[in-house]
Amino acid sequence: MKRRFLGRYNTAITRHAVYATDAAIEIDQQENFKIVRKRVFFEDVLLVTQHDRVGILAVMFSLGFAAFLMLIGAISGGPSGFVLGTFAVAFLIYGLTRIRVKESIITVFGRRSKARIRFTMRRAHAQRLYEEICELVRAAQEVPSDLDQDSSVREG
Amino acid sequence: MPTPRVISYVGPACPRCDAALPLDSITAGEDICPRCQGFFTATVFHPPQRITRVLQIAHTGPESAGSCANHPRNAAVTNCGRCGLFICSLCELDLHGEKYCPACFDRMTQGGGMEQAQTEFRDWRTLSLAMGIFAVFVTLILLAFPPGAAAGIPLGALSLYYVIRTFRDPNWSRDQLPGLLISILLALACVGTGIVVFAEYIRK
Repeated sequence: MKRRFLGRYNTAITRHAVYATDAAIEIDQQENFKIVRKRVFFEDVLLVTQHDRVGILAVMFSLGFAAFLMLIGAISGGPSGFVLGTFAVAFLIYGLTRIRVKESIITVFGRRSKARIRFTMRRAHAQRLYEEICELVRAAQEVPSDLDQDSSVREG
Repeated sequence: MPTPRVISYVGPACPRCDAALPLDSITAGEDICPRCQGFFTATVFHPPQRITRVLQIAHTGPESAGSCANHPRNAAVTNCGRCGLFICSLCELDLHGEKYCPACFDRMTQGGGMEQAQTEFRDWRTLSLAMGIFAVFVTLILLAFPPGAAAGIPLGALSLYYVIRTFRDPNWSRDQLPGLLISILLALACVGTGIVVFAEYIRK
């Protein structure tokens, strides 16, 4: 079964890589030197959502680091201070861009598990992927012949 | 004393604040969470219920059907492809066209015989990266003691071995390539430094 890489969702404590297969979305959760795989099958998907938010941690880190570099550059002065100042401006621009361009998060809720993918500065790609996932789920949930909705069926 | 049940996933929730949301309360398109007042776009699905039709002995009669080994009241529909046990449609686990009973399925999963059912894997890429970084640290520290830096040779080689294992892993995908390239560069740098330092030491 061929897997296609969709994206990642990393937090301070967990790292997730998300893939799509023919039948499911696979989440590879990294735990030290081990990968634990979970699957959200398309036929079990209940809800797919997309929302935008400002990546607070990235913004704070970028602006904080820019301020730190500017401070060091101002103290040292001269050519080294100029180089540090240039790096500080780069971090400052990145931080401000992250405030302006929000990150998109797609969440797929299944019956037993969920998958999350985060896209930084690629909102159009996130939108396309959101629509693609919804399409895959719709195709998988078209009632196939082996499913029986007869309420008179009994379990032993 | 009963073990408390750990609930880690409760179903559909607000993607912003993780507050549980009943599926019926979510509207397709733009929606707002009643708790955090955050906006999100939603598409709701109603997957069909998968119900297994179970044939019971009471309906078929004892002459026409054998009973399931796990559920005596249910009629057996097939037998396990591994142990031959008679099983009903509740117990029947279909894997690539072969039918297995739950016990055999568990044994095969624990033995690692079924790739599709496997959920835990060794992360060779992270191992190679960690070993590459460790090799660089050891080599840099031991540069102060010339023959010691040769320790970078086996450590770098080990990192390269993990890289090869990553490439041979059937779960390998292209998104792991940047990390692997860094591992290869670190490993080659350590091996090269180790060889140069060791050669210099022998020459002296």
